[in-house]
Amino acid sequence: MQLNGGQALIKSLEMEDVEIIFGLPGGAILPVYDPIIDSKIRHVLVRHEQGAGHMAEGYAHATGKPGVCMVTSGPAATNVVTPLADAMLDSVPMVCITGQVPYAAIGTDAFQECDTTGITMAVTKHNFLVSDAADIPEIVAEAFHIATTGRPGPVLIDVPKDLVDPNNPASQLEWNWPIELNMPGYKPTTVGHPRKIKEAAELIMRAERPVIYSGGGILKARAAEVLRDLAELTDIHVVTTLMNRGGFPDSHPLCLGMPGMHGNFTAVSALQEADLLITLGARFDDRVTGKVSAFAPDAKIIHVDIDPAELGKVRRPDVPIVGDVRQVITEMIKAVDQLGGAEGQADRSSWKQRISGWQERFPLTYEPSAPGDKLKPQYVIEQLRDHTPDDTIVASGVGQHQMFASQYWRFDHPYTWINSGGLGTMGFSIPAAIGAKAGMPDRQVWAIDGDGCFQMTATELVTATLEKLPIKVALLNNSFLGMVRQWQEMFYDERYSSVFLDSANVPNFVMMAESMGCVGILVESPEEVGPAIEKANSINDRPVVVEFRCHSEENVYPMVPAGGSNDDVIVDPSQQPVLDADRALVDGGRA
Amino acid sequence: MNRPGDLEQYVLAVLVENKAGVLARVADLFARRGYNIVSLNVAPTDDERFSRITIVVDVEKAPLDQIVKQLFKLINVAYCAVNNNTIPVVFKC
Repeated sequence: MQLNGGQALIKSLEMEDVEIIFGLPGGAILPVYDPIIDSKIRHVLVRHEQGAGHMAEGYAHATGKPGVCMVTSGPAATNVVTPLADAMLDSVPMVCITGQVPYAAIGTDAFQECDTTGITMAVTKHNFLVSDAADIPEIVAEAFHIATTGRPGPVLIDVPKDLVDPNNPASQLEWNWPIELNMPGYKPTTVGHPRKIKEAAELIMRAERPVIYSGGGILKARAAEVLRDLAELTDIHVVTTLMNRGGFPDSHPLCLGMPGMHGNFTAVSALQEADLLITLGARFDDRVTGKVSAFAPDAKIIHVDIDPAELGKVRRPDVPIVGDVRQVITEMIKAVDQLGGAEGQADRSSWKQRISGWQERFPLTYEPSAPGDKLKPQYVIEQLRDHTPDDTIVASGVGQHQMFASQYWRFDHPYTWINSGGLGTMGFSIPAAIGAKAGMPDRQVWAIDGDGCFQMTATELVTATLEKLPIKVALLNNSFLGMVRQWQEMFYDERYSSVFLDSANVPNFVMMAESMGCVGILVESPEEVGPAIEKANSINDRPVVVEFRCHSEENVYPMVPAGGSNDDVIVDPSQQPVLDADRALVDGGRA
Repeated sequence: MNRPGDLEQYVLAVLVENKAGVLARVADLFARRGYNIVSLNVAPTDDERFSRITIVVDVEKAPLDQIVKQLFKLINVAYCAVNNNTIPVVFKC
């Protein structure tokens, strides 16, 4: 069968089971947009290319399938650089197709030309520049293979216009599928080394203060179930990093929740005082470790990761295991069973008491708002959590609202939490929520956003309205770049530099939402919160934006100052005296 | 991890697929991760599918094993050998 390059590209995407493309056409990609009309693949027309990229990410996060976005050359390609970098840092499987000027024009500074493969080299797992139309099916097959296997990540395919132009004889090719992949430099290790797994099991049996440090790799490897099996078999507590919220149920008695800079006191302290960290698909990110040299000083480290370069990158592991984390955990469970399973575990009763003591004395807490005062963001999140279905998908932006959402939501199901952890991309939530809704149309999808983030990507609500992707947005408006304000308060002597957005005055978010075809609701007092959420839940024919007017001076606690040791975590002001007394006692004891 | 007494410079023989832009990928990796290149040479091999990039690296700033692992992550890198000074690496596919 003879096809032209554009037809072959779309047909290759069909063969890869792509059901949806997020994109925006332009000059150089025109020939690929033509065959979309005849394809069963749905195309979602975005309003900005960054939105297309984040939608593809949101889709991938929610479904586990690779997200696909397609844009033209030059400025469109540069607009997807942020989502690519975001997907790179959070290991999101994604394939991005960009148009390029005709092959012969490359390097001439042609109209809408940029060196897309050069620009995106550092923010993709791999990228391709098509130089021969006949290569297109093979490149697409390789791109999907690379994006979805090993450590997942974004792959970009740059397509010169002439190679997909139906009027160019050189764009004709003989269609062939399936493709036999030939990648001598790409062979991810998925099976963990049996001897190392046995060593790990031995450490687990003996450990008196073990903690499972579980990261985003759990979700990427579809390993939530086996993680639960391992935790229950060994009766070891689990911390779930920002990237693994939902990967282990928050309501499980062994769940300690989120560690790190804004982790809860128990999760932070359990990692600090552990004698063994069973690290599963996590990468010792600086937001988790704080000052690396002071992180978990007494802990031996088991580190399981599919990416060999993560082992020893930050912390030297005692037992490094390269492999797919689901496969390795499954084998680890067998190895633990062989050594005596549940009965063979060391006595950990005092460690468990220590953990439950922290949980009792230092739970997440906040001061409820005084009558007539503005809303507390934590209260809004709690209400949202309690008024929505258990399996609601939550997509968050970046900043205080993100931390409050991660802290105060109860994540009991995998793939219900979508956020930008590594890159920290403000504006992520709305397009990511739209992508998630496209992939999971029967689920309720809430974007939790701040007023700063909202103003970066809110135009995609037009896309949501017109494409019938009725997401709901909880806009926590505190009139500030809240997290930056918090840092200026705490670390810059309350000198507030360019953080006041004045967004209680401008823009009018309700009018803005309604102008984009959404329902807009303004909420100012605590008793309105629940009913407003119920109202939003009842509207399913268009997006809803609920603006909650929140307290401007609320800070996120606990907090480990950047670069500081996790030993010096600052808790909520109401708990700090208790903690200070504890620390004085310990120091006195040492003296 | 580097151990005391380890050398500060190593010769890496990196077998790469003979595709456009591969040298840029390797050079870009060294630049963005802050690895120091002392010298770099690219040459064809007896197998036309592959070229060999020979790099002398300074491991003062980054441990050797991390550099090698990051190189291996590049899709077009088929093989990477470390030798501790002058022995040439011959690779046959």
